[in-house]
Amino acid sequence: MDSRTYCVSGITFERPSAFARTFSIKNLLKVISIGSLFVIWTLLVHFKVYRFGFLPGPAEVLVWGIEWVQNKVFWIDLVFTFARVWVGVVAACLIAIPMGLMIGWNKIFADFTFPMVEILRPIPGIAYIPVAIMFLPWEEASTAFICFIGAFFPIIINTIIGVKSIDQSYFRAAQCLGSTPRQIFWHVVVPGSLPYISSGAALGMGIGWMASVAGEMISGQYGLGYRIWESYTLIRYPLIVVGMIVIGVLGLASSSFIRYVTKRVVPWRKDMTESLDESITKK
Amino acid sequence: MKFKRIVFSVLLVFFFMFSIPVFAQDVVTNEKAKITIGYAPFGMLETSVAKVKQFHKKYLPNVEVEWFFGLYSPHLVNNWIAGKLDVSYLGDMPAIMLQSKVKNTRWVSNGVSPRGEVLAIFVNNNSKAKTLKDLEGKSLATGIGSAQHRMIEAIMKKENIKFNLVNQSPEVALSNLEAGKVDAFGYWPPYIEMVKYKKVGRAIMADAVKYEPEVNATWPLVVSEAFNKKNPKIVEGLVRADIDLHKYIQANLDEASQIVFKELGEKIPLPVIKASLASYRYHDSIDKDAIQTVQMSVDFMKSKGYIKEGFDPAAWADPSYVNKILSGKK
Repeated sequence: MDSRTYCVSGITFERPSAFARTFSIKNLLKVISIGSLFVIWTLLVHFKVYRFGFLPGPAEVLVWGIEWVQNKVFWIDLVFTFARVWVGVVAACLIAIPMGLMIGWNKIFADFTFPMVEILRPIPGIAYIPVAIMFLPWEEASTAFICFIGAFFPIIINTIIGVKSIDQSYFRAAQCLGSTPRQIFWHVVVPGSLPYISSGAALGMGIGWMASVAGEMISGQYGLGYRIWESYTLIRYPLIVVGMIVIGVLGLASSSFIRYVTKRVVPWRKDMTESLDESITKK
Repeated sequence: MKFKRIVFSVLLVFFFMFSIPVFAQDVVTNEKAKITIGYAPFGMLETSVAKVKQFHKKYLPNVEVEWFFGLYSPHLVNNWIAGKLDVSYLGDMPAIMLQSKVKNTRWVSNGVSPRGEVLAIFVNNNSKAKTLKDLEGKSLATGIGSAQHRMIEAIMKKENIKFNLVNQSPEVALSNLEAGKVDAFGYWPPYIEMVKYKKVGRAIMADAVKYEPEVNATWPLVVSEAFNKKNPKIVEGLVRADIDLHKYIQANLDEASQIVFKELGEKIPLPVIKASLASYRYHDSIDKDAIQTVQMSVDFMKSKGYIKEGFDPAAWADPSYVNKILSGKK
């Protein structure tokens, strides 16, 4: 068997070439799907359907986008937002995952902490702006904190659900084999909840990017979210759309990265950790 | 007794005969209409008084006005572009942005004419800065594209100070000033007075009077061209009401402050409102001075790239109503 073939249950299959994989029907449909979005957008704006006439069309957005990308400020914005979102989301992971594992696993800890989580969970990130400004010493930390808040709750809730969804027989089996609580935690609870943690992290990453616009209202100088806000006050609608698209693409890339990493870490639950589009389009 | 009664009745009839035309002559038009006026009372306090006192009723008795709230002028501009407004009080910079974009508005009255008193620069209470020169290389928060932004840039250019502009909403900047996250703060009323009242900062430039006329601005009453053409009598009534508003505030500062205080849900302390209203200046006529002021703002916006196309403020202005009213013509 060479690298162009693979074997399943003793049957050898020929691996499709890179060209065939790239230009597969599946990928073609994805391109058509995104292309259709732009065509529909163009038509709605061109024929001024309902109130679409007030919005910039794709061509105008493209012109502004090209101009902005060539500007140094775009890259500064990008780096700032990227760093803020990632710092916020990674911090959220570092706190929410252990906390979620403990809440899911330990009833006393859950009774003590979960009500707090539930009270804080519905508060939107934007409402934390004054707190973030006054509480955190650095401006960058204040901005990242809003992303942190956005990411924290989906991660912790998914982690709790992850622990709760572990088959009870694993716990019983571990106990029968004489495992200590610490061993159960590290060998049952943590790996068992990893797929949910991954989904929570991917979800949290998406919400972290969403929160960046609210968070960067504080920043006052750089950031994609800040630029969107500035463009609103300066009536530069095409730049708002460019900013939205860039945030969308970076958010997708970040979430995909998390899913990719988790697929490598948790290969036994690939079906849960693979991307949503793959899950819903898979035969 | 009977004679007295007859004389009194005759006098009463005469009084009504003469007084009705006197009252009626204020009415500009009796046409019925429902219009929407944009206002941003947190930035332009006097518009709350216009809303409550309804000065337009005297001139436009059958015109029903719906007041469209915007937190700041840019919100009103965006709603205007979305086709929700035809008449609005705006800050001069947002009004210029709007005209540059839609090219079909007219400036018919001066809402407020901010002079040097409506700009002050504050630093954190613990800051070592004592003069403007100490802001060299420091961060200064203001609203990008606002009249105060232009004023600050003009002052800093004159003083040859390089600073780092931070664009924030005044509420956010106020918290940042208190927390010491921005070095300086330069906003419009009522936030100037708010800083003093809450003692969250120290003024290193209490006002900008010495920098006039560069720091002058004018916040116009803007109408769409189509509305102006279709309803000249209504526009005239609105301009008359605007001039009455100015007179009222200048003559009744305490009462006007109370109105604004209540209208803003008592969220801004009364002394802050009173001091802020006192800092406003009104310049009814759209004269050479006002046009020159707007020209400075247009040039500034263009130099910053905030508008792609400049325009001639003299052509944008429609001073016909103001001229007619100020000349005493009916």
